[in-house]
Amino acid sequence: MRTAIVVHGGAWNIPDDLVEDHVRGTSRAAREGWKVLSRGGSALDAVEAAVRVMEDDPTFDAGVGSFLNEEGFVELDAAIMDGRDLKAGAVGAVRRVRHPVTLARAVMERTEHVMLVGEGAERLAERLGLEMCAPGDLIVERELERWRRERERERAGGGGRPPDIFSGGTVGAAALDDSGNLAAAVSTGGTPFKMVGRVGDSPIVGAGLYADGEVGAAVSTGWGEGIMRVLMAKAAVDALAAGADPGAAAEGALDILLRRTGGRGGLIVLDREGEIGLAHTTARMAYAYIRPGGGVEAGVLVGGG
Amino acid sequence: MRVVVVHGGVRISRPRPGGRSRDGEIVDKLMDVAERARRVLLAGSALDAVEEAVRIMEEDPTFNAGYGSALNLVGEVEVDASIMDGSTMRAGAVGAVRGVLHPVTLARAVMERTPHVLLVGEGAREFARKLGLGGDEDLVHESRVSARREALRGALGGGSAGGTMPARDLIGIYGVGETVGAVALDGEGRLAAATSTGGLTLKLPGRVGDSAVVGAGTYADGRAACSGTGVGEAAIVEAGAFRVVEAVGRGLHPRRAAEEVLDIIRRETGREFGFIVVDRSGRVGVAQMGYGLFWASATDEGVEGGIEGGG
Repeated sequence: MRTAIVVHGGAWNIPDDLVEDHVRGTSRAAREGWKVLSRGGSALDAVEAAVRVMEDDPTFDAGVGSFLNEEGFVELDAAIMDGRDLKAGAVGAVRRVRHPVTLARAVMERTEHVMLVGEGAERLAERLGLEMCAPGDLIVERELERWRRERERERAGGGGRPPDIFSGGTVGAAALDDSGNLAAAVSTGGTPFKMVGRVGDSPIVGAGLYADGEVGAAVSTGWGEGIMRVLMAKAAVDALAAGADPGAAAEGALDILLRRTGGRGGLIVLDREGEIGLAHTTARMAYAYIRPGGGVEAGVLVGGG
Repeated sequence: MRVVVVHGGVRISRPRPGGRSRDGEIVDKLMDVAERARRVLLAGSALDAVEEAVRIMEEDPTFNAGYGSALNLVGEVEVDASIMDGSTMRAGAVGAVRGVLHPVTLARAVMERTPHVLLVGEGAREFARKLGLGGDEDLVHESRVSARREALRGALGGGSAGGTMPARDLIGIYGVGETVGAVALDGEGRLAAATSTGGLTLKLPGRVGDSAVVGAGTYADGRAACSGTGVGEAAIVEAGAFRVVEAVGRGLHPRRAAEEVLDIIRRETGREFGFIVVDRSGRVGVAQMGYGLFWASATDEGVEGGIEGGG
């Protein structure tokens, strides 16, 4: 059985001056996940570890450094799924949790539910002793600047809002462990200047992620509102089940997104043999992966559109 | 061919022998809802019809939606709803919202008046206030207060359920049921689906179930429209309604499509679920595994209703 971990750091028009940070950040995340796998840890532990690294890295739109919503807050969504038994946990619109992916895992393992949102989710995090933070701790200067510009544009009133088809810097990971188990995880701050309480595709099982131990795992990024309507991650895993290889499954699902909703995004797909598929229809996508006998392969794909 | 199908949730436990049954009353209500929604179809769209059907049920405390919803762990009503227009594949949803009598209308507003699909919690409530769609309504009905009390007794031991039991079993005994939903096909061949619920009794605050998740409790595209009910956690991990529509797309009869997905849900999660489906040619599927799904349908030929399953 081949072990593997693949992560992405978002699919969008990543500016030139941020490319290096993206490659470094996804590489670190992949290495952290690989460390878990190589000492015999589970795919679930590996994807959580990898995503936590990117939540801590202000480069990405997840955890610290996320986009701000229209009121200037960071609100985070995350989810995790275990391919062994199709168990999943998800959280939406939380403001005071340092590692939403870990809270999502707690929802999966310690409640009867799949999804908790807002203050209810935060209360669970507190009760379980997870690492909390002040809402302001998640805000970085770069995003405050972006928010101010956005607000000015909105006030000026002239077609201020960015187009719907915005594609953000959501992060995600999929892994295959020594025992042949698959898992997927995703975390995001959503879209810039989103409405308060907006939840995107990331914490929606089937849209933002899917992991089926008998088939494969997929993690989405891109225009969440479109991804939710076509259940893009599930579509990719269904394509794997129908015999497509991971690359073709990713491309096929992105094609459905574009054809049915006009939306763009990126996908990472991992099958039971440890084969990896990466595809995007955005300008760029940051990724990294590690497979046995190889070092970390990382980069920013270009020209997916 | 114009069709409306509605459901009023599943019975998740076997009816008690000799127990007072409201089954007939619920079916009658649903037939009335279906007929009223069909009349909307004469002049309006499938989307208008499913919204109207769900709104009627949200106002009726018989059902676990809107006014008279199940109470969560701390005794509050938090509702979930979603709506999807199959002709455009646009969707709107709200989750864990307090104080909104008609979450399905709020879901439609998310679809039509924001760039988003899902709004939750206080943000969704604030949006409702802004649009004059409520936000501060009292949705607690006395019947739910005693139901919650009984469920709590069961959870803590000493209730009629006997002893302390894991929340998993409590859900089965007290929790679910009476979620409402509707699917419709209009005269122009457009399909739509909507679902609304108060969720599980004793659920954690902030819990969002399948009724707010496009693809889980609600789905519609150009091929079919589907609304489901049951323990939402199972439908979310199985992408229930989406899979039913996909199966219709593969050529299955709506009823067969629903049964296929119910089989998968039962096999992989051990949960019971129910679906109503209508496809683009007006064929209807109602399928359920468990103790019965309350449903009714109205077409140009007439109205019917009943309890599907109920084994």
